Parts: sequence; C-alpha cells; structure tokens
Amino acid sequence: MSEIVAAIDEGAAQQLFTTEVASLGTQSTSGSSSLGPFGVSYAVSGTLSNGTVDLIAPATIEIADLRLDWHVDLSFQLDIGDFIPDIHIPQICIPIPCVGTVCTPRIDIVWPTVTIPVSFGDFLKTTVDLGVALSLVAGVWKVEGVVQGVPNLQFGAATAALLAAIGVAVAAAVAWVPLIGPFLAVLAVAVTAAIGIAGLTGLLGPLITPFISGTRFPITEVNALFEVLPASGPFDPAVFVTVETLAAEVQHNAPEDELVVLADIKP
Amino acid sequence: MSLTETSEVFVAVEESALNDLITAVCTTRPHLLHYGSPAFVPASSTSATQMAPIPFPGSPGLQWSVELTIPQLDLFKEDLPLPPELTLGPGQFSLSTVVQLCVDCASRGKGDEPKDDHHNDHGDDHTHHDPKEPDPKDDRGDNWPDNRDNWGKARNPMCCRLGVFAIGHLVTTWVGGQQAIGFAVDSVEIVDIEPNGLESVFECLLLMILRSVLADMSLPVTALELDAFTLTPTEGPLIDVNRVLARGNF
Repeated sequence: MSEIVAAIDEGAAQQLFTTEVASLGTQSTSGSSSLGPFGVSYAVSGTLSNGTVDLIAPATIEIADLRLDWHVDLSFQLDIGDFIPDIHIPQICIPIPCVGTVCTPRIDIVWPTVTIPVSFGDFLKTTVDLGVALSLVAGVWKVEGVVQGVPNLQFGAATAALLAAIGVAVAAAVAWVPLIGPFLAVLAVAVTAAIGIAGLTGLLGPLITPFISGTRFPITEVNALFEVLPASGPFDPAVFVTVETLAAEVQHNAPEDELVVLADIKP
Repeated sequence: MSLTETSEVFVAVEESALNDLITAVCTTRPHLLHYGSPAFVPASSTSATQMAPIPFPGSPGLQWSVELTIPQLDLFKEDLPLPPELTLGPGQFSLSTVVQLCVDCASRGKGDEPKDDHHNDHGDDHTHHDPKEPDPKDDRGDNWPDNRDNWGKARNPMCCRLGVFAIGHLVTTWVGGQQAIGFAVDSVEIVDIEPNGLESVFECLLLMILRSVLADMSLPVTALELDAFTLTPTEGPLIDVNRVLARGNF
C-alpha cells in the first residue's frame, strides 16, 4: 500500500485537462513536401482545445471531441506549360498580286512558371486515448497523458474547400500572364484535378497529425526532493522529503472513475 | 465507494508517511525539540533554542534544558501499545517520545561524589560530569556565584529521561499562508513515577511542554499530497483509520 494517495474525479480531471490543453498554446512547423505533382513548401500551425475527459481503468484517459484548429500556408511553383501547351505560330507569308508578299508575325507563347501562394485554415475534431506515462527526469517526477497511436483525422469538407482555394489562388497568381485569359478556367481546373483529394489528404495528414499524435499532456509534476516547508529564518532551513516512488493510474471506484497518484516518501 | 465521494480531490497520508514528514521536520530543525538556558544552550541555532534561566531569588537563575526524541505518532486505530490510562479514540492520534529534563545542579555538598549513571538502562536520574573538570565548589550556604564565563557548559548537569505517551487530535492551522495541520495534545501519561502527586506534576509539566513544542510543528496540506493536485479542503484533514485524509475542491 502506498503511503500517500491523491485522487481526482472526472470533473477535476476535465478542469486539469482543459487547463493543460490551453497551456500547450499554438504549435507550428514548416518544411517542404508534395502536393500532388507539385513540390510545396509549407508553414502549418495548430491549436488544440476542448475535449471531453472520460477516465477508463486501468490506465486510459479518453478525450472525445478534441478540437484542432489548424492553418496552413502553402507555396508551390506552377509551370503553366505543364498544363497548357506553349503556343508557337510560325510566320506565314502569302504572295498577293500587286501587293507583294504579306507575312503574319511569328507568334511564340511560352508559358511562365509562377509561384502560387495558398493560405487556408479549418478545424477538425477527433477522439484520442491518452496513456498514463511516468518519468523521473532531472529530479522531477512527471506524470503525463500521452496520445496513444496515430489518430485517423477526417478532414471532410476542408479538403474540397482547400482545393477550391487552390483553384482561386492559381487564377489570381497567373492573371498577369499575357494571353492567359482564355485558358484561365481550364488551368485552374487542371491544377486542382492534378492535385485531387488524395493529394491534399496526402499532404495534410502528415502535416496535421503530429499536432495530436504523441502529444504529452502534463498531469502533475512532483520534485523527487520535495520541499515540505520553505526556509523561514536562520534556524529554520527548508525541510525536504525524498519521493522514493511515484505511480499514476485510473481506478474504478464505483460509482466513479478516478485518476490516482500514489507515492512513497522517506525523510 | 469512490475516494473522492462528492468532492473533486481526495488525499490520504498513511501514518508511516506522516511520521516520515515529522521526522524530516525534526531532523532538519532539531531546535524544535531541544530547549535550554545558556548553560546548556549557549546560543540559539538550528540545533537548539536558547531560553532564559528560571529566575529564582538568591540565584543567578536555574539552568535547565528539555530535549525530546522525535515523536512517534500512531493514528487511530491503535497500533502502538499505550499505558492503560490512555485510550486512543476515533479521530485521535497517540504520541510517544522520550523527554530528557536537565538542571545544572550548581551547588553540591562538599565531598559528594557525582553520580555517573548517565548510561543506566532504566533511564532514571543521572548526572553528566567531566572527570577532567575540578570538583564543583561547595558553595552551600552562600549566594550562588554568577561567575560563569562559559555559559555553554553546565557544570553539574543532572538529567532524567521520561518515557511519555500522549493522546491528541489534529487541528487546522496556517503556515506561510497555506492551510496546514497542527497537533494538539489532550492528555499525557508518564509511566512508573511515584508518588502520584509527583507524577501529576510531571505530567502537567510535560503536557505544557508538548503543547508548546507541537504548536511550532505543523505540516502544510500541500505536503500531505506532495502538491500533486491543488486541493482546497472542504472535509478534513482528519484522522481516518491509520491515515490522515482530506477531501476538497480542485
């Protein structure tokens, strides 16, 4: 039997989780990846919030409806010539009696490569299971809830919306190109078709998932050399005890499920 | 039955942990258990607390000291045997310690050989006397000379050790702005002192000493739960069976 037992019910665990989620703040990362046929550089950020705690004995904290607000800034190079053939109209000369030879100008349209910036944000909800992890690092016992496995994130309508945003971004980015007008709509459709839903989820999944997968939610920290009383004068130095062991588990103590921390100390 | 019941947070400290906490306090701040006048305690320090000699007409003051061993607490139910005069009831703790009472016997009769039974097994009266020191001056009949040039050394300490048992209960107090538990002594029993009047005097004396000592010894609630969760007690801290528990809000 442990010498010290501290327990909180699901209501307190909910308060604790809400506070800890808020303290995580906004996470962000950047890099490069593939967006369908395109190489893309990205900057992505995510903020977790909400979530309903369900304690499940012996060692699971289920968080339902965990919300992730995410935002992504993409930038990729679009070689228009990959979608619309370059136009080469040779010079044509026609001899005209009494006038002479009349030639049309040679026309060469080589489509440029343009940079397409896309900015998009949305949110998703998911349910994750946290395992209770315990560690003793640098003299501090840490109890954390760690997301188990890789959650299957459903982007849903966000992918279609992002595709549409890419189409709009393409149209805006190439609008300056001379003679592109008649091809604008075709180009936007071609690009979004090349990317497709699969291309988007192939990009978003690996970018967004790390904001949830493996996330560690602090539950509590206890110094292995725990200060019982602070120093309070020249003859009253601080009083410490050593926390020899610490453990954490979910217990079903009917009618409640409780998050329990167990400890043993020595003077 | 859930631990938290209708509250959000539950904390329980077994009596072994409570004793560990008290031991930590007493070993880090031994002056909480050791008091004496200058002949025994030359200056207040972490080790001991200097107090005034007991004033008495015709003397420079009676030199004395009181030193307790680290109290051992037993929470209801009774695990450590108590004298039959004491009964450990629900919600109470028992306390056992050994108290050493010393006085500096400044006046001795000429020719009296100081007894050296300091190490006797019965823990009864005994003296401390350094044989390298000259025999105490026989100043019987004179005013006691206040010629101590070394107040940190009692010349003829006479001490006794008394095994003390007490019954008490927890009280809520505050330490540094934090809620804490304190220890209040209700009754004291000393074994094997006769006559009964002497026993009563000693018991009363030790009751007052223990109350004073324990008044300075309290444990913050945060220490009871190692600060694992923030607890604002609404129930307790109180003594359950062999443990102190508290419930409250997160």
